[in-house]
Amino acid sequence: MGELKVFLQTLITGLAIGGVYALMAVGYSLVFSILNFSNFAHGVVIMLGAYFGYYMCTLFHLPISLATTGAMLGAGLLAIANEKLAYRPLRLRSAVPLYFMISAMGASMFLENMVYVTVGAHFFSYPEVFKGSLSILHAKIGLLDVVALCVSAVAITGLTLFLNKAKLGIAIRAASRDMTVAGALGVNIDKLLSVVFFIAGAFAGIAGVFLGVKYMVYPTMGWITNKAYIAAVIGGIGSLPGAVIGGIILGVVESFVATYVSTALRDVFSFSLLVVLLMVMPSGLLGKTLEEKV
Amino acid sequence: MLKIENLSVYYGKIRALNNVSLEVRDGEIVSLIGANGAGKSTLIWTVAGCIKPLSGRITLDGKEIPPLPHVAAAMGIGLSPERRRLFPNLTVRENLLMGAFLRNDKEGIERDAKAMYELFPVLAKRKEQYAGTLSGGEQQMLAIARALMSKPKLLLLDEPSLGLSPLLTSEVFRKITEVNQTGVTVLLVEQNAKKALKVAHRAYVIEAGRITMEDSASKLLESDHVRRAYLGVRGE
Repeated sequence: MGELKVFLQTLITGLAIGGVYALMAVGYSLVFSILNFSNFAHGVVIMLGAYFGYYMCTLFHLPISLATTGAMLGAGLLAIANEKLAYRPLRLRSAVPLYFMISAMGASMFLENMVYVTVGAHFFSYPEVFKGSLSILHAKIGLLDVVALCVSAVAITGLTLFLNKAKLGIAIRAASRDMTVAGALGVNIDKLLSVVFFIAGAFAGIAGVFLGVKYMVYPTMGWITNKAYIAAVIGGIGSLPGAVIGGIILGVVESFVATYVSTALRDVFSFSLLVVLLMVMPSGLLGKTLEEKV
Repeated sequence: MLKIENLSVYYGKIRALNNVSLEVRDGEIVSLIGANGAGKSTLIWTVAGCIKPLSGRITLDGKEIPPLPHVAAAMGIGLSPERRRLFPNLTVRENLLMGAFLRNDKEGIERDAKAMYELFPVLAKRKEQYAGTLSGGEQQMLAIARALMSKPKLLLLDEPSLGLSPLLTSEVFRKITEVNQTGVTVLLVEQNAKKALKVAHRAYVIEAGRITMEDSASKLLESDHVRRAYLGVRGE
């Protein structure tokens, strides 16, 4: 029965990581679907989300649930500020997506270095939370993995409902196809983008806390978001279901490669998967062919 | 209702509208006819607040319309843009809801959506279908219905006949008259001058960014210049 046990453990770990990738990938996809550029500042928002959560836990001794809420708020507001300062001026001048991307990289470098200057390059670890494990069919499943999986699922389901049922959600989908006409119908585009960036940031906050708890908190932890970006591209960037599917696929593949092949080869596999997939399906799994863009 | 005074719009150094003045009175259908590139759409988008003019004033019931589209919409401008510009990823019903974005009276919105399905029965059958799957004629109906959902004081219609068969074009123009009879004021921009003049009370001719003629629609229909330039009638 050892085989099954390992398999099950690997699968759940993969799904949990995949869920966190999906949370991050959704942020890339939401922004891409409306502003048509890859928001490379998303990584630092996740990193700072992890710091926010960390300080709420250690300085204010908040329980992890409240710390996560705080991280969501903090990262959400940070993402709004990022939009207002780095992208809005470009938007008003109808700049091409390339300029947005360069501005995003600038914002990313600025914030990362701000962390070096203020907090320093130390590695911090969260206080131990979700330490226990569950036993399913003799497999030991980490509690953290289970929580990560559940929280990701709830957050993404909530977002899907919001986009499909709420007036503001429908407006976001409308603006993803035609921002000008959405504006002419009465949608305040500035406000709408604040909502979009807040959602992306709040999801980044959750992801940051999970990454911080699972690994460590440090200024360059945003690199993990490269993986989320890969997930978004695999799924078809701009597509919300695509981001989720891409995240899950990537998480599970990585987990299995780490268990059955080698940990060192894990990232080689992720990037190879991306390259091969893009050769076969240049717009990703659900890109373009899908009716729904967000 | 709508008053445009000495409006000039530039795209960079290119002048799109040159000192345009135009008026639409309560309850009227006013047509603006002109060739491709004459500045018709520019005028529509400027009234809708999407383009910032260099100079001139646009007022609705005496209040100036700022170059902010969501404010223009809130003031009572309803836009059915050229090429329809529906949201193809939204259903017919969701497109109508977007038209009513600024309204909060749920029951009123439901009632008006029903009224739209009655006015445009083709839409009623397709409520839950994505707008991208509709035919050209259906899309045009939906574009007009979407604009009407905001209960606009002034409906801006940009090229509603574009890409439609003559039969569907007639149908669309019949609907425009119907809508006007319910009390909605209409500013209609068209290349199909004959139809646009037949449906309108008054009309303007725009050429190279300037208003060159202005009269009642029936008089313009008989004008030699209009007949030669826009109705394809050869000189006698």
